[in-house]
Parts: sequence; C-alpha cells; structure tokens
Amino acid sequence: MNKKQTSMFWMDVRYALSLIRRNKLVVAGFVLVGFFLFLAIFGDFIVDPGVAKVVDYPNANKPPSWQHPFGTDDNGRDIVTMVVLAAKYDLAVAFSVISVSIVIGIVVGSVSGYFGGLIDEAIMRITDIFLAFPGLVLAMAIATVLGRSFTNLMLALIVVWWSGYARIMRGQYVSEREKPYVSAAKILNIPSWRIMFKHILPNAIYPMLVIMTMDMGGVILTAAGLSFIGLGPSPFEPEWGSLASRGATYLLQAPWIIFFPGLAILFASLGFNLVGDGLRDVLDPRLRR
Amino acid sequence: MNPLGAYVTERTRPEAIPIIEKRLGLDKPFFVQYTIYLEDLVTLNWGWSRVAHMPVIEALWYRFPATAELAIAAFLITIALGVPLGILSALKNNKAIDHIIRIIALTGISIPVFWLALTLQYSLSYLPKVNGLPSLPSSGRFDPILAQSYPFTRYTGFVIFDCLIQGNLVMAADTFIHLILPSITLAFLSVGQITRVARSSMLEVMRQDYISTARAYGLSERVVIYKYALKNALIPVTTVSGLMFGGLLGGALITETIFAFPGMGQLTVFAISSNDSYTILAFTVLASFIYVIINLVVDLLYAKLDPRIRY
Amino acid sequence: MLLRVQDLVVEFYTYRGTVHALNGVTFDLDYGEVLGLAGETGSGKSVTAFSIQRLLPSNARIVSGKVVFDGVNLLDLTEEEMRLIRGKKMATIFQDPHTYLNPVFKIERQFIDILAQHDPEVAGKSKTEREKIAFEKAVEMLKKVKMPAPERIMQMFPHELSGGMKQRVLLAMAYSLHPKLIIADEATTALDVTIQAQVLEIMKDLQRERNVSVLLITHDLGIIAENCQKVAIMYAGRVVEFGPVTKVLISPKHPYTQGLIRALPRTDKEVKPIGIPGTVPDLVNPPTGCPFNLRCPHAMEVCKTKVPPYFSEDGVNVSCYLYVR
Repeated sequence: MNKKQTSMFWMDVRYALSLIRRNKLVVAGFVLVGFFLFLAIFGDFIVDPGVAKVVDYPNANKPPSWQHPFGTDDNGRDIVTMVVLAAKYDLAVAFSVISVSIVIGIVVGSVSGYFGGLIDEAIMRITDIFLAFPGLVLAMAIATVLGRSFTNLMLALIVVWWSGYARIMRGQYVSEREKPYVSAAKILNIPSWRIMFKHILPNAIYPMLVIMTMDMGGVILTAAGLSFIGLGPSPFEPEWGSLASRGATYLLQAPWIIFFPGLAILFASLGFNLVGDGLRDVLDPRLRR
Repeated sequence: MNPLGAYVTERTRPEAIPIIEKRLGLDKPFFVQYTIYLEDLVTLNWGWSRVAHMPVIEALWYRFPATAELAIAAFLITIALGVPLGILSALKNNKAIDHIIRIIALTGISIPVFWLALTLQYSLSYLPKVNGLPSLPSSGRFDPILAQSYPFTRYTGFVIFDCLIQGNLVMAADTFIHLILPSITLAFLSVGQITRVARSSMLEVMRQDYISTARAYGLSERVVIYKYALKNALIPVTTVSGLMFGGLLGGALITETIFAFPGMGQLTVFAISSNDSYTILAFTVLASFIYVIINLVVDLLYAKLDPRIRY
Repeated sequence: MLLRVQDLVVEFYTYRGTVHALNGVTFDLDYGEVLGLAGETGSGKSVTAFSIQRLLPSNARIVSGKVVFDGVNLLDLTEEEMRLIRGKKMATIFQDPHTYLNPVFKIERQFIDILAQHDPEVAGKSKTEREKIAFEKAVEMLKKVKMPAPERIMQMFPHELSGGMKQRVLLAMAYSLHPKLIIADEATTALDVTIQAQVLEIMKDLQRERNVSVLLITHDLGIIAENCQKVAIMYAGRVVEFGPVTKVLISPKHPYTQGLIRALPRTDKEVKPIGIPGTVPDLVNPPTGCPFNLRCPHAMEVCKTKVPPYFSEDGVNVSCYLYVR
C-alpha cells in the first residue's frame, strides 16, 4: 500500500472511531467486552483459583452477603469467585471456536468459490450436510459422542460453526472473482493461492468481521446451553453454564446460583453483540462508495 | 465414546460382553454396520430407548405433538411480535422508539435460554404463588389433577386440539395456560433475530428507487409503506424465519427440561445424562429432518414472494 | 408561466459537513415549452428536479428560494397538498428504469395504483370497476408509447422486460395522468443510442399532442439541441446561463458554456475538442464569488469575491461580470 492508501486507511479508522464514540450503546459494548477480557486474563490473580476445587458443605447455598456478594453454591463455593474464574474458560472457548472455524471456513470457502465447478459442488454438498442440522442439536450430538470436557465442547462447536462461515466466504469469493482486479491479477500470472489470500481475502472479509464479533456472543450462549444440559466440563472446572446447571435444582431455595452466572453470560454476550452491531453500522455506509 | 457404555456396567459378567457385542452387531466390519444403520433408519427401526422404556420411535412419536405445540406457539409469537416491531423500528429510524426496540432485540439475542426460563419461572410462577397472587404454572403440559375431573381422550396428541373437539374447554384452557411460559421463553431469543432482520430489510427497501417512484406519483404514504415496501422487505424475513426454526428446535431441549414439558427435547436431555445413544441419535436425525423440511417450505414460499426467482 | 424557479438554495447535511448542493438556481418554463437543464455530474441537476417535487431525502433542506408552479409556490404547501400535485400535475421519468419499478409487483398493479390514486374518472367507483377502467386506460397509454402487445406487458414483472421497454412503461405512466409538467431526469442516459432515439421520438410526439411542458435534464447537449426550445446551463449548483437554445449553444456567452461547446467533438469543422482545465469545486467548501472563477480564463478580481447576478444580454440571462452594464 502506498502512502495515499495508508493515509486513507487511517482517515477511515479515525472516522470509524468517531462514529463509535458517538454511539453510547457501542461504547457500553466495548466496556463490557473489555471488562470480561480483563477478568479472563487477570481472573486468577484477583480471586483464589483454589476455591473451585474445594468443597465446603456447611457453607453451601448461602444467600448473598458481605463475604459472599453473590452467595455460595451447592458446594459451598463463593459464586463471585466462580463467575470470575469461569470468564477465562468461556471466553477462551469462544475465541478458539471462532478463530478455528473462520480459518477452516476461509480455506474451504475460498477454494470452493474461487475454483468453482465440481470442487465447488462437492464442497457445497458437504457443507449442506452440516448445515442441515440445527446448531445446538448437532453440537449436542457430537459432544455426547466425544464426552464431557472443554476440548470436546470446543470441537463440537467448531464442527457446527465452520460450515456457516464456509458458505458465506464461498459466496463472497464467487462474487469477487468476477471483478476486474482478479482478472488483472490472473493476467499478471500471479499464482492462484496468492490471488485468493492476498488480493481477494481483504475485500471478502468485511462482512465476516461483523458476523464473527456477534458470533462470539453466540458461541458463549451455545456453550453455556450445552453445559447446562450436561455436556460441558466437569463440576470442578468453572464454566458459567455448568454453574447454572447445578443451580437449577435449587432454584427455589437458592436462586442466586443460577442468577449470577446467567447474568454474566448475558452481559458477556450482550457486550459482543453491541460491538458487532456498532461495527456493522460503521462498516455499512462506508462500503457503499 | 464406547458404544457398549450404555449397556455394560461394572456388574455385567465378563462372559456376557461378547454376547452383547454380537447382539448389537458390533463385531461386524464398520461398513456393514453403517449399512445396517441406514436400513434401520429408513425402516424406522430406531432401537430401544432406555430412558423411555419403549422403542425410540414410539417414545418420540408420543412426545412429538407436545414439542410441536410448543414450537408452533413460539413461532407464532415470534412472527406476530418480531415483524411489526422490526418494521416500526425501521419507520421511526433513529427516534426513541427505534432505540428501545433495538435494545430489546439485542438483549433477546444475548440472553441465555435457561436463564430466561428460570427467571420467568421464579418471578411469574413461584413468587406470585408464594405471595398468594395469581401465577402461571411452572411445569408440565397440563394439570394432572384437573385432568381427572375433566378427563379427555388423546386423539392426535395435540392436547389443545383434542380437548376442543371434545368440547372440553377447561382442559383446553389449562393446557393453553401451561404453554405460556415455555413458549415465551423459547420465542424471546427468536424475536430478537426477526426484529433485527425485519428492521434492516425494511430500511434497505425504503431507500430503494422504486419507493421514490411511488412517492413521485403521489401515492399515499400508507400505500407506499404497507404495499410497496412491505412485500419486498418480507423476503429476507421469510428466509431467516426458516433458519430460526432450527434455533427453536435446539432451544426446546433446554426449555422443555426446565419447564418439565413432556416433549422430545426433555426426553433427549434425559438420554444425555443416561448415555442413551439410540435416543440421542434418533432425536438428532429427526430434528434435522424437520429442519430441512421447514427450510424447503420456506424456500418455496420465498419463490412465491419474489417473482424474480422461479424454479 | 408554468414554472418559475427563483434563487433556489438547497443544502445537504452529511458526516463530511454541509454540502451546498444548490446555490441559487433560477429559470422559468412556459406552458408547452421544452426546457433543457444541462450540466456535468454533480452540478445539481437532479437535486433541482427533486427539490421542485419536494422529494428530497431527510438530510436535505430547502434553505431559500421560490418554486412557483401554476401560480402556487410549492415550497409553501403541506405534504398532503404536494401529494395531490405529484403524478397528477407534474410527473417524473427517472434515469434508471431497472431500479425505478417495484420488482415484486406486476406492471398492471403499479400502473393501476397510480391511476386509481389520481384519476377523477376512476375514483368513487367500486373496486372492480376502478380496476377495469384503469386497466383500459393503461393499455391505451402503452399503445401510445408504441409498446407491442400491451395487454401481455401488463401481466409481466419488471425483470421480464428490457431496459427500453421499462423506460417506455415509465413514460406511459408519467403521461397517463395528463400532467402539465413532465420532468425527465436523465431519462435516456441509461439506454443505448437507438433506444434513446426511440424514446425521445415518443416524448416529442406526446409533448406536441398534449402541449405538455417538459423539463429535460441531461448532460448531453446534442439531445438538448434537438429537443428543447430553451436551455439552462448549470455549474456547481448554480444556473450560469439561461436562454433560447439557438442563442446559448451557437453563441455561448458564459465562459463555462463556451468551454462546454469547445469540448464537443465536431464533424462539421476540423477542430479538436478542447477540455476545460481544472476540476469541479468541492460543494462542501465552495469557492467564494462565482463558482467558476478558479477555472475561468477571463476571471477578474470581482469574480473571486461576489457571486455575479444575472445580466440580460441579447435575450439570454448570464451570471457573469463580463456582461455587466
């Protein structure tokens, strides 16, 4: 990129930032996301990670108090601690699932969209098979087969998510490959893989950015849902969904066990959705140039 | 996952294991197993459900109407609320009501299903009851005690329908009331999605040139919006509603469990905790099948709405 | 005088600042006349058209000026009153026929709706009767614009017709209500030359037959020369020269018009086309004084500071200090 392009890029960034600053909701979203990121990264230093593994029955199911602002769960563990500790795991799951899915999606989608023909047909049929299953149902089926653990949860979610991305990327590549800059690159004898990833990808990826951000929220929700029905990690690994799941039995006596982890999920997810929504507002009119 | 896991425990005699394997067909090569699987699938021989103590297909068949009633109710609520809200939001773009609706929609897609279910249960069912106020039922499909005073026979399994044709208004009403909380829960997530799609679609349409033409010829604003704009705007909404149905099927798992609603989802969740793979597998296949059919219907509907697409 | 536009000033509010789209547009159009509104892209031609109809987007504002149509200042009317005029007294044919017809409705639906809205013969009767009368009228109009098989066309969807056919449908719709003024906003720009000729031919016939006034907006001076009696040349949101076509195009007075004529390729003389140096000014920060002063070979001191008013010279109105008395 030459100098003019770089300066135009920074102008865009500054404009984007100004738009973002004006929209209070989006700012709130960034705050939320930042907050949870902070908890995820520094959680182990703020609270005592050992609490997760300890069982303290006499203290079980105590309502919120000064010592335990969110109360205690059925194992006597302080819920504030548990929620904070779980942040790391839930966000890690979300990040990994999205990043791996998008990589797979890009590779598959670009090959399918760029080359077309039989490869395209074959790949699309395979993607269709995965897309034929409703998300949670497929993830549930896979997680059941693989067994209860964090990694398996992630794998199950990746299997569900990649096909959606592949399809979108394929659509993008199909429309971009007709464009003049691609023909120009081909005439210049630039190798295909370079065209696909250095030329087309930066253009094709725009709509994906918004989707990816909002899907962070989606993955957190789905992961929590899966944990809730029993497919998440073991009870000693803190995860918002499984915390809530244990609390369901005690809804009437100790509603706080579900309430606070669930609230955490809500706000984390909301944060990402707000950011994604704001991103969409920013990117959309700019694209119409 | 060990396929024997559901059938073999520490108490099984070691000599029995090869017999069980043989019975389950696990000694045959993989390809043959797969063919048998396909055969069984098509002939509806879906195995025995341990959690239901009956063949899987019977268990699912028995519970299907309950889930269907729930899903349809949720779907209707979603469309009835989501579309008007989205369009209203688009028409009053950037005004206060637009922002409020957008926030509600955004919250809708951020809320965990189980949290909403439990919160609703707690606040609309438990709290009022404890304080002597009228409350909504928190579980089940209908009140079994009431059913004894007002018995009804099960014809189709769609209880509301069955009761109505038998003239049993009491039970019909009771079942209806029991549907309220679960369907609201299920609908909430989807309403958010539909509202957002309806809103952005309507905004996009209102920007189009043919709307200018309509206005330039003096057509009244009402006609412009409700006739010219709306039909175009509803096209993407239709597509999304098909996809959203998939979410309903998934969400049903959690919702039915929490509200002790006797549908397919509840059965599947029991199956998960008991490792009953036959049931889980059957539900997955069935749910996907339904999802595919719904999307097919949606595609056909889409072709009807948009004359540019013809098969 | 059917239409008199005086000193129209219009602004758009965008994230980049306030765009001064129109900076004093003045011209008039008599009954039965055809006026050409010429100018480059961005000169404000379409904005003028939209302003006359008051169909500007929500981020635009008509700051000042008058638009007197058939004796009434349109800028004073309410939206309801405007709505009664649009379509009935003035109709527009837009540039791109592909996007200006609603893709999900049949042609008959869009046509009938327009007739049903305004035509007094149609209003007040029962729905089936309304539809029948409107249908017949529509078919009549389609025949007038030389559409083959008009009944079949009515049953078709826009995407099933070619560009030229779509434009003729829009023409038919515009004329069907017998308006006094037709605004043709680059109506032929998107068509290829042969279709263009056809459409212009039809417009000419209709215009003569019904004595309709036409505001023909285009950047093609050739079309203006062939079809218009008067022409207004626009530059950077201002009318710089306005008068009879013969006078303006053959002996242009404003330096910009002269530049435009010089830039045309000629088949009658051995002269190469000469471009106008410089670029169109940025309407967010328009230059002070005459908008053309930065590119004008005859620019004087006063041109840089004050916007020149209109001076009458040989029957033509020119906004240029070269013609000050």
